[in-house]
Amino acid sequence: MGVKEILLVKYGEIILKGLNRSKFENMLESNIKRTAGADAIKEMKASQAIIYIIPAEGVDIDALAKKISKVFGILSIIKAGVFPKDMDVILSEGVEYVAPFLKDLKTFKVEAKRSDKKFPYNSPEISRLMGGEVLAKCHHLKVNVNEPDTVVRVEIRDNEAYVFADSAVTKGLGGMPVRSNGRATLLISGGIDSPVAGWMMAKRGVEIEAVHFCSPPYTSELAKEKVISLAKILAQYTGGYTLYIVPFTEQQLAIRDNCPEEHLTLVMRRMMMKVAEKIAQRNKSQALITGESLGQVASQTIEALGVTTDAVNMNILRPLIGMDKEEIITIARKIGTFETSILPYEDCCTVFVPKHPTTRPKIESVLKSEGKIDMEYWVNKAVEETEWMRIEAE
Amino acid sequence: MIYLDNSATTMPAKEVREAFCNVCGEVFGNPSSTHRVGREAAAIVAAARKKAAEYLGCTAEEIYFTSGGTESDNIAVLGGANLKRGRRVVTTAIEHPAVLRAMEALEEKGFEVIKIMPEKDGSIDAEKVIESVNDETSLVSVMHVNNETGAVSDIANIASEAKKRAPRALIHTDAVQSFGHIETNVKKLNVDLMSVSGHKIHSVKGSGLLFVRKGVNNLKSPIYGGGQEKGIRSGTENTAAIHALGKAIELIDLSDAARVAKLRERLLAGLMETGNAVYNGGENSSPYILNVSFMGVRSEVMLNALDAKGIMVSSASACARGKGTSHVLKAMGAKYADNAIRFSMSRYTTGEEIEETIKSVCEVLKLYRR
Repeated sequence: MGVKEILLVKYGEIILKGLNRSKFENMLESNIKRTAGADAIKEMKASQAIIYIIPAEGVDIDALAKKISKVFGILSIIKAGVFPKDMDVILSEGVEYVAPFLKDLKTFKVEAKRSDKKFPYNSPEISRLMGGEVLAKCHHLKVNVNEPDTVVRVEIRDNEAYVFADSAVTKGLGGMPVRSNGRATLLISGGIDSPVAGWMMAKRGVEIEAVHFCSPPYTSELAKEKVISLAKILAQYTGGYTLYIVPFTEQQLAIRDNCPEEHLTLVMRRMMMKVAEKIAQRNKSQALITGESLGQVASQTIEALGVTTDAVNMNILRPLIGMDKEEIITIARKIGTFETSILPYEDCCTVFVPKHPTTRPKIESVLKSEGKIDMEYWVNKAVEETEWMRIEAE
Repeated sequence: MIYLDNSATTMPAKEVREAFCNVCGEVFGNPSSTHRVGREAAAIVAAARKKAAEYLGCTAEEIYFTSGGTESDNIAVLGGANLKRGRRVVTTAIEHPAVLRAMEALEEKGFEVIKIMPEKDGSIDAEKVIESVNDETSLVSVMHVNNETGAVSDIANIASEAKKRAPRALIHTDAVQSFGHIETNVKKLNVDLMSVSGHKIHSVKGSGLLFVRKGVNNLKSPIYGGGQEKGIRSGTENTAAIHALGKAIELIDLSDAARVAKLRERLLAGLMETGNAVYNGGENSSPYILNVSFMGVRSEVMLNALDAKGIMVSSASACARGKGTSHVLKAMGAKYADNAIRFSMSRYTTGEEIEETIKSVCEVLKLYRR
């Protein structure tokens, strides 16, 4: 039988939050549980800014670590071996256990900790003995107390001892636990940007809901399926949420048929914002999230963004606002949405694109264009006809 | 549901499905095995070969079973061109990608590939093909019926004249869209190589054949293996699919083409009546394919809208999904290539379905035309 293993989860920023700390820890723990799946974890407890996870019987611990590494708020996940509180066993089996994690390294040091003060060896003694044993078994290693390549750690707990090396680490994403910073509604299009925008706000602890506009027959079933796929990838990080799908064809036709061509996109985006705001109010969101990036297209100039912002009273979060396309693509690749985002289906924003869109719109003239249609009627109609579906991680 | 995308694939006939399932479950042997179970499978393959040969007007020895159109085309083009017989290869710009991509591979090997452009109506001028053939030519490959426009090429004429100019050249035709719809007798067409796909004529996917005229003994197959199909197509024979193909061939009724031609005529007339349709094709067309552009409605929009109404059509060919404008319509210089819709019919298409389709197209135009 192999060594029993557990995961040690280190978290970051939430420890700064003083009085709210335990609340945040609870959120993080419940997010971990939800992400791991109901039956994957046998036990979980927090102690001194570390969450100890004991996996259920038969669970692949590396796969579990990988899954959990997508939970925001985690800095790193370290795999540790569990041993009986017997110094001989800790030395012999413990060193054998950590040896594979020390293979490609040159220097180390040992740090020991004991919460059980009755353990017959104190921390410096444990460190010294363990260090000697590592040196005896791993001839390529040298001790370096100031700048070691890794730290071998021994923790003597109440019932057992943990042995691990810092190099057995899976890096986390940082950020804050989802739900620790309110709720917002993401406008998701199927392009590269909006899933990244949702991911970035979720990273800061925002719980996500999402709204998608579709315009059949101008947009296809495949385009809708693509958005659902993207939403499911995003849910790996955010947890499950609701995706609202707004049928938007009649609205787009009304805008096209009645509003001046140069303002088509702006009026459409204002209408989308208004619809999203209503949906957001209903699901108790405190803000909207868009994937807009300054200057990327005509409708994302500083003037155009002003005109879009003016459409709603709700706060609009634009986490990509200062990012280059390349930077956005880098994140999209990292989070796994890029390959899906670039599938070539028409999205609703590009159905009717003016030949010469205004890049320096004035709000008064856009409002005049918007006056050609019954905005309130079309917004309400869209909200009424909106369908929703539950998105779970896939 | 109205299915008008039969050039993409057809529904396997009930008899074909039964035939396929029977063999799939009960005759599982490897036709190359010499024991009884193997011999049973070999007998099934032999029977299908005989049926295919009878239908095509050749001998059973000239039929080589493949996995379908693409494989047949690849073997014919890559195997048929031969630098020793001549470095020129003549083809057209409107071939299926299975031929066109294979031609690109030939170009890389040093062949000179001449691609004949289609006329404005999508047809291939046989004279232009013939004139391009010289005594340096080792392969001529011209499709019988174009999969996007339905244009029929005069293969018999091309084959006879090309052989006069280049007696050593092999003549190949991709007959995937003509087989089972119009006459494809290999003697009448006078070709050396012919590609056929099963799933376009109500057989199953993964069935097809390549006709190789007896006496053509320098065809060098690009597939290496156990030497099945006399080395032309190595790989264990797909007995059930071959049996299904035989069954599908049995069910072919060329006389139905006259009925389908009337449906096509009615569909074209009905669509032209909208005043917004442009016909992408000419006089001499397969009765089974109709390509029309609708001004003011992009292909994708029409396709999605008809889909929502339960009518399945296609923009250009199904293979080209997401790859932009059709290379066939582009080569024709069609003005409304981005608005093209292909309606492709089958023996199961009815007059009511055609009327319903015309009605639906009118509704879509009314709603979404710009």
